[in-house]
Amino acid sequence: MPAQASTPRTTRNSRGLRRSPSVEPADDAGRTATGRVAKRRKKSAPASVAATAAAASHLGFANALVAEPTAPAAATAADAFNPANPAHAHTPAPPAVQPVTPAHQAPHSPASPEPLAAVCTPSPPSQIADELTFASVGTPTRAQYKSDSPGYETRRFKQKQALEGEKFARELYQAICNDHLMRDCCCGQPTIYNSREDAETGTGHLRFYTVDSNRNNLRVLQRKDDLTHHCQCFSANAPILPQFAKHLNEGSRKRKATDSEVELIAQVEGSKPSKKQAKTVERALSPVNELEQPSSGQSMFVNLQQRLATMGASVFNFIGRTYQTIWNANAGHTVHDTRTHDPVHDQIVVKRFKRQYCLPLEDDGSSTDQTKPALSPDVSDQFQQAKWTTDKTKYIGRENITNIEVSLRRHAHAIRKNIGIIGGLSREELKAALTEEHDIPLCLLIHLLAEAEFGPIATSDPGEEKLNKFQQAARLYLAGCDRAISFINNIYHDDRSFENLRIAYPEPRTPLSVENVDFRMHTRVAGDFLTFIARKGEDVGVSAEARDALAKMIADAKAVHKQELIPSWVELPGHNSPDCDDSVLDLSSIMKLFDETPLDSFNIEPVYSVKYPKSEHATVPVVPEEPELLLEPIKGVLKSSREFTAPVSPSYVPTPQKKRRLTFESPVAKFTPPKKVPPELKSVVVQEEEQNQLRYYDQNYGPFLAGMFGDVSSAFNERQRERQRQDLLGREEIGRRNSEEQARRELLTQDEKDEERRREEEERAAETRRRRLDRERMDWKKELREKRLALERNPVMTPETKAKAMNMLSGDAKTPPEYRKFMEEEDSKSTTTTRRKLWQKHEDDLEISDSKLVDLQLRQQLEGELQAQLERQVREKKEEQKRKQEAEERQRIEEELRKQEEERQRREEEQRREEEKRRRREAEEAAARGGLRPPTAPLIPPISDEWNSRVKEAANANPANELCQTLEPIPLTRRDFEEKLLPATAWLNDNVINGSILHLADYINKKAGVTNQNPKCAAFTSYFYPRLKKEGPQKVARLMRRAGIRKANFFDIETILIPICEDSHWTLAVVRPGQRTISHIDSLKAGRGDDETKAVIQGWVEKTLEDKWVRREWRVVDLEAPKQNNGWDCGVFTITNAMCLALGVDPKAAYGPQQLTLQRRRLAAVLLNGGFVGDFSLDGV
Amino acid sequence: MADNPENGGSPAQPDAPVGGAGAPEHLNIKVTDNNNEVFFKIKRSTKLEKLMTAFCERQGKTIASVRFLFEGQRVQPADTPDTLEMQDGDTLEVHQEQVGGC
Repeated sequence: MPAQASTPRTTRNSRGLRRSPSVEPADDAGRTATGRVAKRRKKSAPASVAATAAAASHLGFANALVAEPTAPAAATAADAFNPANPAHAHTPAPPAVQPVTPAHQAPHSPASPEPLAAVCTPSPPSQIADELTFASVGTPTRAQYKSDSPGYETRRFKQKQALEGEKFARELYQAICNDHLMRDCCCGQPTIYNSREDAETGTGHLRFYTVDSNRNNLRVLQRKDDLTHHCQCFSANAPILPQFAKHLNEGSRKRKATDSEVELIAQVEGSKPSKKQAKTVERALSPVNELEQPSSGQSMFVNLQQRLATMGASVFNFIGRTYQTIWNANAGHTVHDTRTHDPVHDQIVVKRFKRQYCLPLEDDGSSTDQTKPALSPDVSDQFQQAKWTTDKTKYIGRENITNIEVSLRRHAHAIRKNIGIIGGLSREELKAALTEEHDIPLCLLIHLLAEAEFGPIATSDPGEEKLNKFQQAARLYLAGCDRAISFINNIYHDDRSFENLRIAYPEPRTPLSVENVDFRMHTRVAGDFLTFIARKGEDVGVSAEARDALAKMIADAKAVHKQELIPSWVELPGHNSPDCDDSVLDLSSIMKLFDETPLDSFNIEPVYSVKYPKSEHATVPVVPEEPELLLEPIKGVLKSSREFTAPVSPSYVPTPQKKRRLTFESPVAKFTPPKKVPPELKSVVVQEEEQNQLRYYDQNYGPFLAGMFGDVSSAFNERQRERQRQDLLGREEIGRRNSEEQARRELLTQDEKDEERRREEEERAAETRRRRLDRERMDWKKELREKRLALERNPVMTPETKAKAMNMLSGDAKTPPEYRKFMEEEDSKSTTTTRRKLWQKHEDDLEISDSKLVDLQLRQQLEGELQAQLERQVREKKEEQKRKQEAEERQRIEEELRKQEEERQRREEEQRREEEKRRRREAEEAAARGGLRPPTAPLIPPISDEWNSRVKEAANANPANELCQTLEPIPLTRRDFEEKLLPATAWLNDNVINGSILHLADYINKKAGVTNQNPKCAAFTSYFYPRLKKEGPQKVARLMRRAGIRKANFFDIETILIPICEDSHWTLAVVRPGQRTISHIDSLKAGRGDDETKAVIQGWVEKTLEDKWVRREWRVVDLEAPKQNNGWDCGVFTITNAMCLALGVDPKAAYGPQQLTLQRRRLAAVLLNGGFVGDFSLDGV
Repeated sequence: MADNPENGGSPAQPDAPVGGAGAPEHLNIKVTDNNNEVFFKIKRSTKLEKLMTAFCERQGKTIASVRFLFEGQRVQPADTPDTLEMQDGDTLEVHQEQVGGC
């Protein structure tokens, strides 16, 4: 409960009493109880002395006895011992812990001095026993429902406060405490803050605070949205413990509702009585809940609370487990200087300071010789070998335990029965007063306790105060006795918990949880008490042996509290095992065992070594220099990846180089003929075959051939052989032979040479002729083929004729006559006998008929040809005629089409002309209506580069410079151009609009040769219309004067231009006195205007013309103009429309919206140019 | 009609003599922008630029974004009460720059 502990009231006093620095580690544990006691004072005992005094804690109680009672803080904490206060007991002690005796229970109610006792539930038995059980158990759970929002003094509470006065908050506080107690809630009481400010920043559902440091003046804050008073732990809905339940309505003004009443109440509450309801009613009826849970809004809240509890169950479970784990891990030791290096044993050791009850002994001198030596490994090993003992009393000794127990019981009895004790005296007085009748050691101990707890008691102090101190000390002593007795009972006599643990764990282990947490808390108190006895025992005559036993007992208590191995319960080889003669284990050995422990036994292992365990880590003590302190790089993140090597597989085949495929070259393309062509080489087999064949022919047909062809066959054979020889010899041979021939020729005589030449010439001539004839023959053959084809296709000839002709064409007819003749000549010349000659010999007679037949056939053929030709001619002629006819037909159709086309064109032309006429007529009509004409030249021609650059310069000019002046004259600066005109989406400002329109009017007037005071075109600035609209026509005289408009010259004016800026929109009103029209051109409405504007303008015209106004002459007309389709061009439209109307041009025909970006630049140029002159003249438009 | 304010203005100012000519050296001129009214006392021959600048400075406006109008007529920096034929007690209206697009 840090919140409580941090409040100054709670710890200051006990701290003040403490002087020994060694006490410090114990502080944490002591605080809780301290705070609680301090708080308790408030609700209890208004009669208790010194409200501002500090409360004493158990710690204080213990330590104050150690310290010399010099501390000035001497407040009483009488309420701490108030037996009638039921809220003291934070948790009801479990039965096992309470050595409940009837004698113990008896004195609680008569001793109650509290006026509030009646309101509270009757206190349960053994408050005194519970008095000392507070521990810091509640602290972590408190944090679970911490809420940081500020508290408020709610109306409900204010009313109550007003109704019940001061006691309201006190009673509420007490009621809450009671409820916590009765429901076995371990969360502790609500915090009491020192001031409202503290309370507002504090935590908790209800925040109690004191006013003006007056403990009795307690107030309470509650968060507005929070109706609960209780923490939301499980206990909030827990049933009231049975031991309290039976007391619930005792001595109370309230009673439990009977069954009939439950129903009645339920009816009042408007719901059916159910079990739950009944319970709620019961709670509502109980005096406790009457205050803390007003019935308004209760039912809703109960549901909510239950729901929250259900929803939060798992969370609570988890938090509970977590907390338990943390608690177990820390289990009440303070760990200082967690890791040190012990050079002696070369290992890391952890120094654990033990609880406070061990350390004062050290200060006392009983263990001064010990300087906390490091535990040798063998000692730590002994913990591993620990076994459950067979006799729990063996370690300390049964007699010792019995002695201690008996004396404690005796003391308790003496205090309860007030036998043989005196008190309420100072030290000196006590010394004098003590006699043999008294229990001197007990009296002394109580006195020492009182001094330790409440400061020194002087003789001069008031007797009542001294008595009070004595009484409280006695109560404390009694409580300590009871705790210690219950502890001894439980640990050394009662086998229940021991057996349970032994069954649960065959081997002793840590943490070892004996009984429940409450018991362990009680045990700590018992340990505290025993420590006190052990320290002070020497003074009052406690024997050394008993003190030794006490020390061991304290060690046991400490072990119970810390959930460690209880030395008495285990047998450690070398210490309390039977086989060890070291039966007397002095305190220093205990210190040795428990003070410094190797780090390993703490199981505090660095996370990385858990993650990357080393095999030898378990055995080898950790050396600080060991590199495992360094974080190992995570695999694959920090380590460089290994280089990849190809798999060593036997089947691995490198992929073929693709290049090869690309370097394929065609052998044909690359072929170069060898210089020497080798002779045809034939395989032996082939040669032999050929030879065989020749031989075969020679053998079989040789004689016949020789007979029939004479030397033909021999020549053939000769030639064959020759060729073979040539082949074999190769070309070289031929060459050689040629050269031989040449040589031979050279050797010939002139005649022979001549002869030879002549012969050669003849041969050549013959050859030439032969070739020519060959060619002719080929031609002839071709001709024949054609003839035959023609014959076949001849449609006229009969098949018979055809066959005859075919016959004619076949056979010898294949050969042209001349060639045949030549061949015959040749044959005749030839010495060789040819087959033809053979045949001719016998076919002389046939020759004539043959030639005749050929002749006949030829003639026939010719006739056929002729006929075919004729037929062809006829056919061609017919086709020709047909084609001609078709062509004529086509021509005729084309002609017709052309005529139609012409007709159509003519008609279209007429239509167009008519259309044009109509349009012109319409235009004329429109012009007649509005007096507007289509433009004769483009209104917005492109501007020159020079002007473009000048416009650009203007946009980049010095902002302060005056670039030009309008006619008003208004100086125009870069801002007007760069921001208000040139960007395509810029909105135009009045300077640009007025400047342009005044320039326009000026141009028209100059062109017409009139002054601006007798204008043809008059222009107002944009300030005219707002003034006209707001002030009326009589207030614009100055502006009219300036524009040169008077009643007298009104009808001389052709156009009056009125730019209007309304609602961030530029429009143009135009009055054309000549046409007697009033128009308003809104570019967003494609020229159509606003009726109201027109009415205002008409009002002005009427007022201006006065008696000249003829209503029926004037028309309000809508003009047509291009439509604006964006959100920025209206100013440009306005100016351009003004240009059109000033020129008398129809705006619709003059320009389009797409031209307006150019128009912006153009207008800028016009403004820079100083009007529509020079390059920007509107002449011709 | 144009003379109306001039004639009407004089009775309101009993000190001011009738007519522009021979008027006193100093004029009281009200400058208003609907929300604020500021009175200036200036000489007839003082350029109104001074007044305009003073007003803009006082109102925290830039002179480029406001338009001073006297009876609907734009006041030039170089104008003086004389050139505008102003009378004692006349009002200069201050308008925002007119901007339009859609």
